[in-house]
Amino acid sequence: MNQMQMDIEQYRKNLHRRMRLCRLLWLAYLLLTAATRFASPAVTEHPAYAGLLGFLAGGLLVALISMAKYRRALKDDTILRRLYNQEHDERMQAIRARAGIPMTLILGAAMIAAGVIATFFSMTVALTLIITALAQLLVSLAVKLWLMHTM
Amino acid sequence: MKTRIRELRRERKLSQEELADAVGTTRQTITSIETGKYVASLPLAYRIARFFGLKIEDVFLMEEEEV
Repeated sequence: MNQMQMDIEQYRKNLHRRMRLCRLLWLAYLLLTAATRFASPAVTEHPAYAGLLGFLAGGLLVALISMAKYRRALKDDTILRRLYNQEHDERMQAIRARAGIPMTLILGAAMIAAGVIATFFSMTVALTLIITALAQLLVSLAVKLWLMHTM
Repeated sequence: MKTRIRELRRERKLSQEELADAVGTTRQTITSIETGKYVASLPLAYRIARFFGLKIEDVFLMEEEEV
């Protein structure tokens, strides 16, 4: 087995791991929505709860699309190899690095999480954090799209 | 940097997608290299040259002012 085949096999395992993570996210969402039935209105009517559900729903949509993509790749070696090439493509890696990915994504997620927690103390702080995080993510996306066009 | 990738590909009747699959990159990257928008890294340049059975300097043409 050559290096490329070994890398692909490692990637296949990685995709299985990601699929498990996506399923876990679905389970978390289902448990959270089921818990709504038993939670007191003070919890379910709090803006943080709605924010958390919205954040999870967005994550679920991404997870659903990714799962469909991974399932197709795991069934077909050509698609698997193309997906591997796509993820490890040096030009895309250079574009992502210039757009500040993944650091902007990590910071954005952390700021949104902090914003959700801040709803318990101050709505002004919470909104500032969430809006700043979204603006940061939008700038990063715009830079990425521009570089994909010019590079 | 100029390259002979498009010319070599046409000689061998290869699509960008086929070349990309063979050298472990994407069709978009091959397009960018061919149009001069992106300069391939040394490992990718080596893989492309090896795929065509040539040396790097036979595929990637460095102009005097770039040296």
